[in-house]
Amino acid sequence: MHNLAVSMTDICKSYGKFKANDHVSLHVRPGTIHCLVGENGAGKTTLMNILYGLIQKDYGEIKIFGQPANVKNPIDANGYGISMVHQHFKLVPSFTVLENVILGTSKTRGPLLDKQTLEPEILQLCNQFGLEIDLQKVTEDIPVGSQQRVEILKALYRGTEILILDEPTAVLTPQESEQLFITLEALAQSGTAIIFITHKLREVFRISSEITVMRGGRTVGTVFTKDVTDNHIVRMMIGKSISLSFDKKGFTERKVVLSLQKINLASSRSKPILENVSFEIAEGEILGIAGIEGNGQSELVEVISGAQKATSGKTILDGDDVSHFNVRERRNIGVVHIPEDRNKTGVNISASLLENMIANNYFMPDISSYGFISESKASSYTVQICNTYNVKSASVLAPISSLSGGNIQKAIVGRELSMPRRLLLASQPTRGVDIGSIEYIYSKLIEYRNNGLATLLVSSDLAEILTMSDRIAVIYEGKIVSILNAHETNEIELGFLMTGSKEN
Amino acid sequence: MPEIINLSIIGVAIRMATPLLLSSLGGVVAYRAGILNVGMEGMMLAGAFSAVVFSMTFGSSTIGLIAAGLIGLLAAMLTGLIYNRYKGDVFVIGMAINIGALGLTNFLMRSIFGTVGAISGSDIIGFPKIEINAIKEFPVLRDVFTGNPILVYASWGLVLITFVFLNHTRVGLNLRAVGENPEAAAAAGLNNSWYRYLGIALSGISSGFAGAYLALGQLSMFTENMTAGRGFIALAIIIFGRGTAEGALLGSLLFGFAEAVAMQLQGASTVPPQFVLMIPYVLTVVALTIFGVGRSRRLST
Repeated sequence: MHNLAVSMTDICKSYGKFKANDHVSLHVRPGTIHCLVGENGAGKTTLMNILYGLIQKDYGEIKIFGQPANVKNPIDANGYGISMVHQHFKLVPSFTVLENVILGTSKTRGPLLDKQTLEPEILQLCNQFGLEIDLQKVTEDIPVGSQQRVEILKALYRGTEILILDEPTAVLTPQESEQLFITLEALAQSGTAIIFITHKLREVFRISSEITVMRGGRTVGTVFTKDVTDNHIVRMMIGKSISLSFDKKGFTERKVVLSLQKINLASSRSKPILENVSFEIAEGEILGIAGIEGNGQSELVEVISGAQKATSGKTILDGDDVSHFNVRERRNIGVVHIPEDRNKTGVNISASLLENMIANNYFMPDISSYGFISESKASSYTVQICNTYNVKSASVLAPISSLSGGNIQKAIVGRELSMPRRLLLASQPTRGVDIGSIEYIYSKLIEYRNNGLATLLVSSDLAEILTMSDRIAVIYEGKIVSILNAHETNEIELGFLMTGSKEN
Repeated sequence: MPEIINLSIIGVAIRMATPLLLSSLGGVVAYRAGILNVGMEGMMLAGAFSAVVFSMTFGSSTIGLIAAGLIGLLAAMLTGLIYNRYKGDVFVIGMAINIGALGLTNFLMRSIFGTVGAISGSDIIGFPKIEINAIKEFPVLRDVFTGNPILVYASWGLVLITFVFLNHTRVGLNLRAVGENPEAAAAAGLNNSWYRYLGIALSGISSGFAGAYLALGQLSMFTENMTAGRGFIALAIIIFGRGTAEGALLGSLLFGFAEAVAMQLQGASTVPPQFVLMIPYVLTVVALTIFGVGRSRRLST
């Protein structure tokens, strides 16, 4: 027995100038549960995809049980005894559990499926590791937690020695998570090395024996769980960051612009996406939403913008109930929106700059008359946005895809802020944008705030949230766990709240 | 119209259903591997033409059948290659095969045989018909079970074989996984392209056989565009039967029956023949509409 199941040394992977993995090392011993933690974009998933053969490393060395390994694809990975349970399960929905488990294996002879012979062996695995599954059920009819058990069972049936789980509890209820931990502990006892990717510190301390922390594409360090506190880990995850400062005008009397009252959003899965979300945003206030991605932020913004209907709860804007308003109706009363995915929902990437700039007002008299778009009006309107918001483009008719990310983002900010506005929904407004554009966008957001605009700022960048916000609401698993004054909190406290380590 | 529609219609329906059943069974396999074989019409037409040419040249209907299967296979492998290797659109490839087969058969008919419209003659050897004397006295049995080419009986056997293949073999399970969730199949270590080739190849061969049946099964001749949309009806049958062998059987019998009714009603002077000939096609639209409504209801609940 080698003393290391996985040994990844000096792994590098770049996408253009961006270093997703920069000399990363990870060493996992057999029979242990090793947590890999870090913020979004820290490079955890890249590292695991390299180990599983989904992407190829630029540099570095991988050893599996002491032997140098060349993992070119997932089939190779399986050959080395590596299995991965993805966030999105790789199951065939109409197949029974048994069929999914045996798919692609050949443990019986002959062309016919001999399910009777295979079943006892699979049942025995289920019993050994406490996996409660009905093998005859159709996979799409069973709950998400059970589907995940099918994925684990698939790995066990293939004789896995190294099991990677990518945020396995993201889709589970607390009870299902606990059941998963029991299974994983039994697996580790039997000698399997388990790599567990998570953001939730509570889970890290519940199950792991070692922790590797990543930040910004580098390994910060590997520690024994028993030697550290969650405080250490949060500090390792967040690190230090430079903060910009702005002059924020104080307001004495402020009217409430947006008021959310007990917003709930159910999902087809067992866990609701949003649960009793209530808060208010006043004139001249920026409310930051802090949280690890995927905790309901995107859906929250969609509910407020009107793109998605809440299951229950009220959205009040300037005292009027707008819960049943659609996107256009909400825009008409001043809800403007910078979407989180610039290229997907922010712009129509195959259209021109001009077409994108008039996308939210082409039907208004300033642009068109009698149903015809006036090219000269549209053109001068676009030029005006470009001048005011510092958008650099060869021509207004240039395809928007020819602009840099920063310029596209400034164009979106300009387009939205040029509309009549009461409430700005800004989702990840500076993601993937160069420093110059970031400062510019910040200064515009502050300028409009000082003029009385109410802003909801959603960002996975804690420094951004702390710099820009007046108040900060922390969202965790669809619930607002705390609302704090920005100048009375810090990254460490937010980090705790975001990872569910401390409630209230 | 009792004198027009009588029990013999059942026999006619079964003979009309055979090419539909043959091509849709292969099509079902391709469909379950994730490819809707739009080119079945063209593969069938090319099959019919080659069956006639080879039967005439070699004086053997068996060689005609083999040639038809091979030409269908060739078109299928072309489809598979463009789809798997060059990521082409199956619909576009299929339509190209349909249009290409129509043009090519017409062109070859003129350049080789110097005729327009049809190739016929006593030197085209048709499929031998199986006669079972013992049941000749019983009206319905006689119509259904005797006097048919062997392909009719083979198509019934193929229903069972397809059913077992899809549901009870390892290769069938893998093929369905590839069709339903290619990512899951790849993650389970399957070679997705291989299963797609397999599905489309079986569809090509069976469509070629269906064409051979059209040409050599009853009349022993080839006429311009003799498939007359049967490949598209087979497509409809695949969807209508939800990609199952038993569904293909049911759908083929239904459409075969519609064609038989249309044929028999042509003799009746009261109904304009144009309307009668529309029956199978109208049925296609109706069946797909009903299926579509049923499915959207199921999805919305």
